[in-house]
Amino acid sequence: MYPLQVERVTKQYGDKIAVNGINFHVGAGEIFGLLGANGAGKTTTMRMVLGLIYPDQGQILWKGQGYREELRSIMGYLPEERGLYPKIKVSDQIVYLAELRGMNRKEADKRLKEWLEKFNVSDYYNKRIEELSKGNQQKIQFIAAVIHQPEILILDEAFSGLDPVNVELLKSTVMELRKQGTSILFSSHRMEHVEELCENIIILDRSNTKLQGKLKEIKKQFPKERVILETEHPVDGLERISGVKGVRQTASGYDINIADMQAASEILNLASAQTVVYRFQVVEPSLNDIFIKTVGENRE
Amino acid sequence: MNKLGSVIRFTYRSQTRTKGFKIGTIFFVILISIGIHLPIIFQAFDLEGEDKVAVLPAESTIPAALQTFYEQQEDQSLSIVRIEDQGSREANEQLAKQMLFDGEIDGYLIIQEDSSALASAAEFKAKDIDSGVLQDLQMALQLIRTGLVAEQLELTGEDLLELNRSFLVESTIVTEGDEGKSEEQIAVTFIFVIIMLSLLFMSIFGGGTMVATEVSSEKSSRVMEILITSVKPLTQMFGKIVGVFLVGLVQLLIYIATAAINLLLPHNRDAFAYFNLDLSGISPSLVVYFILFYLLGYFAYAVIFAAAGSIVSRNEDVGQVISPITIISMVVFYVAIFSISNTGAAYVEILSFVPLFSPILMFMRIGVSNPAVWEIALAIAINVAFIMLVGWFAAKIYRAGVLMYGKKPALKEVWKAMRYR
Repeated sequence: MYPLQVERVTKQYGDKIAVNGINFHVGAGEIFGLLGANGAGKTTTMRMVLGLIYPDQGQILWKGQGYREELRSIMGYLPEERGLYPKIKVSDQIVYLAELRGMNRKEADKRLKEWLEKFNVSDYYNKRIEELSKGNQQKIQFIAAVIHQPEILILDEAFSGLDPVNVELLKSTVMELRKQGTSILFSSHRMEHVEELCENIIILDRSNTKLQGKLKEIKKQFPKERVILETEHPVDGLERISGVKGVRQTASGYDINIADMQAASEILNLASAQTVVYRFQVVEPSLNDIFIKTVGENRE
Repeated sequence: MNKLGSVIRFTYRSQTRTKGFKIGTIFFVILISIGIHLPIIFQAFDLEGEDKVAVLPAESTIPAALQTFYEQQEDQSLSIVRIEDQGSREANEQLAKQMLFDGEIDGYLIIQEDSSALASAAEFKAKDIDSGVLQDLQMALQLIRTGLVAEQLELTGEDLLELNRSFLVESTIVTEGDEGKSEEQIAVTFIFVIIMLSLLFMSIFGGGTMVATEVSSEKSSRVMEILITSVKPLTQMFGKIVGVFLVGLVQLLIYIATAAINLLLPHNRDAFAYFNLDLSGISPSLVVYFILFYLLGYFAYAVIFAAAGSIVSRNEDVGQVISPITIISMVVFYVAIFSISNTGAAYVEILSFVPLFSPILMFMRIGVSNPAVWEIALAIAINVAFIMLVGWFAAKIYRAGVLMYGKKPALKEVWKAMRYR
């Protein structure tokens, strides 16, 4: 039994199928990546997981059971569209939102102070949301999603609008939550974040599941097609090697597309025969490449 | 239930902390204080001072009697100025007119005398018509004339009293079975209905708009996306309505306290002594009905406002959707005002069971006539059912609103979104 099981769920709006037979589960202490282009059905999936709308077919189980009131206090949600009361003090509204999740005021207040300290923004306690920068509002929104220590957490574009320092801060927080056993459904368009955080992913494309499974396994299915080469002097004749599909000169060297591994070793041989090789790497495909290949290939 | 409390408290606190609330409340407190002090302020500026009236012709019985009459009055709000005879009627009138425009007098009275009989008509001329002064003069003249006639007829004081005795007719509204309501009771009901109408109007316009704005601003700021995942929309909706109600109640109590404090100030006590209404006609059951129907009325309108606020997702659009409700409440208001003396009419009886009309009209019927218990119970049941139904409906729309961000609030879309569960 998993904290969150989505079993062959289909949702239809009129005659338009929004989600078609999606099937996955999120274990305790797991960050599950829900990916897809715009309009692929991610939002509908998340709304069903939140219990806002009900599947037409299939079922969703939370800790092995159907939807129930208790879930409101064990689920956390960070919506893509940020929303807090602009004119109300951070402390007032976070405590309120925590209360609605079933916490008592005192505890919520104590927890809020801890979180603010953790995010180095203790002085925002008495500030109104509209006084904060977008990135800092984001932190407050994040606190609102996790303050009640949810067992199931839904993060939609959790790191958008943050500077690199704060992305790291939130990322490490998310990893901490995973360590504490939280089941996290993670949706993002930033593939490098997904790659870093998620072990299992699902890629949706126009309502259908295109790709699903362990990220490592998925990557193995995709051939290694890129070689990065950095040398002291330019190398001649790279294009002439059989199996090389394209060579792109970069600031520090070459970015080469290959058809097979044989070509890779020939590239290395050719380069080291001509000059000193600083860097030679056969790059495995990034999730970004995989995503574009999977979702983009049927696009005209 | 816990969550309902949280929503109520949050709504209450966030509303009472706004600048608008504070400034508005202070403004009204000042306004009330000034209003209560107006009589004293007027006295200080002598705005309501003595009215000076000249009487023509200069030399005659009635003007002299009139002057004596006002000189004997304790409260000299009016004094008679005699003008010197200029020889002719026209010259006298010319002088009076001159004095009027010089500001020496506030008006002049021309008594049309006839040598054959006692004068019974006069003309009052002034720059503006002050009905108080006119009435005052008329009464005094009537009195003087009666006295003069009595003298001519050699009537005794007793005869005069007997002649002046008025004929009293008391009216009582009769209802089947019960003894009727006296005029005093009806008068009290009337006051209650007026208070209820004003209170409902204040609450509907202040509170209703507040509820609608709150709901729509939660949609525009998108907080509701989190809210509906943590609390039932129905709880949220009623929490908000109760919270706003409490805000209104507190505001009202502040105003009442302001008025009470002002009235208790020593210099105001006398000025308002004559306002002392006889409150003994109020029965406790009427007070209970008053509170009950006021609450029903408030909630009936509040749920409709909430539903309206749920349809739109931007504050700017709120005005548009609440205007039909405002029009309905105006209709209710006028129906109530026009039918208060006619509560037995069939249309009043029917409307007293129709939601939105019912709270005011049924209360009015209870106060003025004696509707059967089942009628009262039915009206209460209809109102409660209406509130629950519309509240449920509003919550549905509210929830559906999340699923249709950015779309125009076309009814068809709302209906579609509501059906997606």
